[in-house]
Amino acid sequence: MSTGTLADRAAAAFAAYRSGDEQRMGELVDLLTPILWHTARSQGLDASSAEDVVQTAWIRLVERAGSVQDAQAVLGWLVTTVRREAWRVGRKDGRAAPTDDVPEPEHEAPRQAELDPAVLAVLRDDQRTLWRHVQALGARCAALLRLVAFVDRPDYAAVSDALGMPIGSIGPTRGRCLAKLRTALLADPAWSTR
Amino acid sequence: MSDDQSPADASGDSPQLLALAAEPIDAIDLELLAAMREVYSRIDPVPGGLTDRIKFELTLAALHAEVAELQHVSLAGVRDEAAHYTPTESVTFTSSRLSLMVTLGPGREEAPDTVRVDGWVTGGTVTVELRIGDESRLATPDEDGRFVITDVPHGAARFVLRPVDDVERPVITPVVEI
Repeated sequence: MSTGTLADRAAAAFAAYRSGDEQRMGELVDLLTPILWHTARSQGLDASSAEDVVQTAWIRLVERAGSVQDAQAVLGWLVTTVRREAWRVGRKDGRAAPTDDVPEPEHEAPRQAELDPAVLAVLRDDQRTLWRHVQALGARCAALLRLVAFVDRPDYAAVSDALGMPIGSIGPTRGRCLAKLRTALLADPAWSTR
Repeated sequence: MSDDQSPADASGDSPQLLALAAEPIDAIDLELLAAMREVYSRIDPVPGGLTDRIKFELTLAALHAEVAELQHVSLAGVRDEAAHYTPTESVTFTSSRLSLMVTLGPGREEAPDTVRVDGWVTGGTVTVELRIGDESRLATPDEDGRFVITDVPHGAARFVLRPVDDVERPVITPVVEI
């Protein structure tokens, strides 16, 4: 039933939905909403905008289910849609009028989501150390690693592609973001003595 | 080791870092990622109820439905012979054309953990679907617009009213606890 990677399970549910089993959409929502939430939040949206953007992506999927050629691509399609929509919403909140020209994130780095410092109180010391080093990587790497943390290893490439990051950003090789995090953490006594 | 040993890298990353980046992912990396997952799940979890709200929105989009408003709720206690306090609830929903009043009562003696739903639709001829959890119950109101659905389990429920003329949009109600 629920075997395979997240992308595989999502693909199976989406394929079943498209061939008429409407109940399976609920399963797809349960499977992928967490990663879409983290996508929206890693692009710098506040909680309420992030909710809106995630909902919008789902509604688009239902409206345009036929245009997603390959069921296997549904995870990437949704992450891409959330990322683009987040960019549009973030831009609207910020400065100029929204535009349809969404730059690839090479050119427009996501902002870091603002987080109430009090929230960090729920973390253990080593977890706060990890969080601090992730933040220090910059928004692009932080966003990539945050999403990758929520999928299975064979899906890393699909996620980095959906984020507009180059092939090889992560998986099968470590990639620079993870290499930087690892280097920084292993050199930090607060992590290595945990 | 100095940077001039390797071709200039646009990012300015050191050769050591690039070498580390080119290695396959190992158990330490997976441990770091698992720790990140735990951190983000704790400090920024998916808001409660978000998936339910999304499913509702998708149902609306799929049905092209109008959402009825919850108009009125009244709760009247009825004391039965055994002196149990049995709540009987009455709820009214309205849409632009239709109105639905439902009264919730205790289930049959043989099915004490269930609810009896008495409904009354005005404003048009419809079929009624009661959705509760993954279950779906259908009813066709009589000529006065009245219908009864028995043996309904407790839970979060909503009604979908489908005009029989198939021209008007369906109407879907907000969730009520049954």
